[in-house]
Amino acid sequence: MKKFIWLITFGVLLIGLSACGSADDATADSGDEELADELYFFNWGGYGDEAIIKDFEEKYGVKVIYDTFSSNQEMLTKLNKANVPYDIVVPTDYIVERMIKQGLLAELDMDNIPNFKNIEEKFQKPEYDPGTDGKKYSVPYMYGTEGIAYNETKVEKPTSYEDLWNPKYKGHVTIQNDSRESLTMALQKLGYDANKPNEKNLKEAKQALIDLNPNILKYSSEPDADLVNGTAWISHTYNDSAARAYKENPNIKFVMPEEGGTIWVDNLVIPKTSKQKYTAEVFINFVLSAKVSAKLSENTPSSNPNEAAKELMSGELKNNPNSYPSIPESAVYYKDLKPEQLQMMNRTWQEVRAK
Amino acid sequence: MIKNIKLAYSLLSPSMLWLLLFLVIPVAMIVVISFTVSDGYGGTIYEFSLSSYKLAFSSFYLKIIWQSVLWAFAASVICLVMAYPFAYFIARVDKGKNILLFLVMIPFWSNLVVRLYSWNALLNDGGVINNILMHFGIISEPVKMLYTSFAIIVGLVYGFLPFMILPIYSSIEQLDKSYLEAAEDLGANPVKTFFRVTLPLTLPGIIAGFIMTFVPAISVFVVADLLGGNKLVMVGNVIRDSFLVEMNWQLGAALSILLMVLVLLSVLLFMKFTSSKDKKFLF
Repeated sequence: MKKFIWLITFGVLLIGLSACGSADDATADSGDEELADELYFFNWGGYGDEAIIKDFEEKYGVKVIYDTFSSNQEMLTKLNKANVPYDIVVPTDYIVERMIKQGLLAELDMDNIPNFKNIEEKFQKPEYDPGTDGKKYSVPYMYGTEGIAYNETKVEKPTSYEDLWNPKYKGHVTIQNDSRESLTMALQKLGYDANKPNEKNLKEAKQALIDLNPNILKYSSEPDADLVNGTAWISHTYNDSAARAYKENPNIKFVMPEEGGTIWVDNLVIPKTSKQKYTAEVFINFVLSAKVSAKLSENTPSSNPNEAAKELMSGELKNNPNSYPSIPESAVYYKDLKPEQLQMMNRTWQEVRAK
Repeated sequence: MIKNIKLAYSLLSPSMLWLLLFLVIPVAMIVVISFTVSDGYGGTIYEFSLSSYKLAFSSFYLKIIWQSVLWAFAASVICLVMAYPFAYFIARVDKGKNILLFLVMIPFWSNLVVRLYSWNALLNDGGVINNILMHFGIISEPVKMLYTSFAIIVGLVYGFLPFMILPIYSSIEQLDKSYLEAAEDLGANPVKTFFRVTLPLTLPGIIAGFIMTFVPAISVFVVADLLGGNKLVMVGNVIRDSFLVEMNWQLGAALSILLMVLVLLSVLLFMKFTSSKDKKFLF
């Protein structure tokens, strides 16, 4: 009996492991131009796009199955390991670059996405997916920046990341809870290229962050609530967090640091494993229409790259100063780094937190 | 006889299948993954390697594991001190026993995350506790409680107190009162009776409660997430981070195994230590 149980255990284990290892090579069926019954949409949590999804379901009679993730890494992990045939996912710029390189994305048929013309020109041919060889894999969904949010009743208007280190703000500073983002901030503060971390400059960045520790209230990628209630005075965060905080407390302002800060774009893409590429493209086109995109902006304070949609937005949305900060020339996109560099950053960040 | 064994196996098969699918196989997969190599993007290269264990045994992770052990142990001890009199009271009260037990279990009706957010509101600088203390002039400026190890221990005690109360309650409930009367008749004072009769006889409940508190407390990550402000982390957080943030499944797997072994050893040690005491009594 015992032997029998072990046999089964190893049998099932082998099957399980082989299922993990093999990549699904099924190519998208693009010849079939009929709408599918269901569409799997895998998006960041907190975008508040349930309303436009409902509109899409009503208009096209396609049921949208909506799942959310909270980091690019989580999305990639689930996409690679869970074997759910997601039709649309929303990776950030440098992850798009990586997914193109790894051959994970289906080429978009731009004829099915005429509303792409609504997108601001500077976002039409981004570095991570220029589409110069006639191949386009992504369209921008929302964008934003990373800089400094501050409470103007407690803090003088900051100009640079240096201000986070001001000893007057002891116990009232938050920075992103993410190895890459926080170390990039420290690298920029020290005057290094944000996308060229190496052993030497990370060592300096680590020391800078350790020196910042007495000022830190907490490491948080969502400091909105702490900013609103006055516990956090100055935060290294996203402009949409600051925009959300501004709605609750108009003293919360956002500014890009003179070091440049960073800029991000979340994109709609179709994984190669999608079985209904056409329906996914119809969905993308729907989302890019001016009206739908403007409706989306009502529920999310991120910056909208859809020019046509901006014209339809209410004054209240357009006038949230934190949703559309002025972005300096020196702001950079995150680039896809080598695994060794990312691991080095992770180690460095852990060492900062362990102090 | 053989027929009975077959019957027993067929009755057991649903639970054995359950254990196989959701315990044996996942653990076996974690063991396998912990000995492989990461490709740096969350993928696995099936080559034998000890590199993830080397990393898991680095001073950084050992420090965090030790920290988690200390916090979980402190929380369990505080739980024990709070739970014992409470459980004793419930077990010995004449009326309303069921209502009291019901009150102990009510917190389970809502998610721990939600309940910890309310601790966030209680403990923060502008929170309820600081406001009350300042209102009565006991303190002049807010005491920093949130995002300290104090907050984490509060969260752990709060989250796992019922797991300590229930087993202790059931062992006190089963305690035969005639032992206590006998002790009194033989001239023992209440304190002596408690330490030499009640406590040893309810030790199984204490052990069960301690294990049921310590084991989940050491691996939980939501408490450190919400009340530690990410400045203070427990081993559960670094395991979660290595799977989802670093995408290093090998490291996460190795740390999980390390934690499992540690918990098993401490439980065995604890049981051995307490069961030998059991026979000799405490004094």
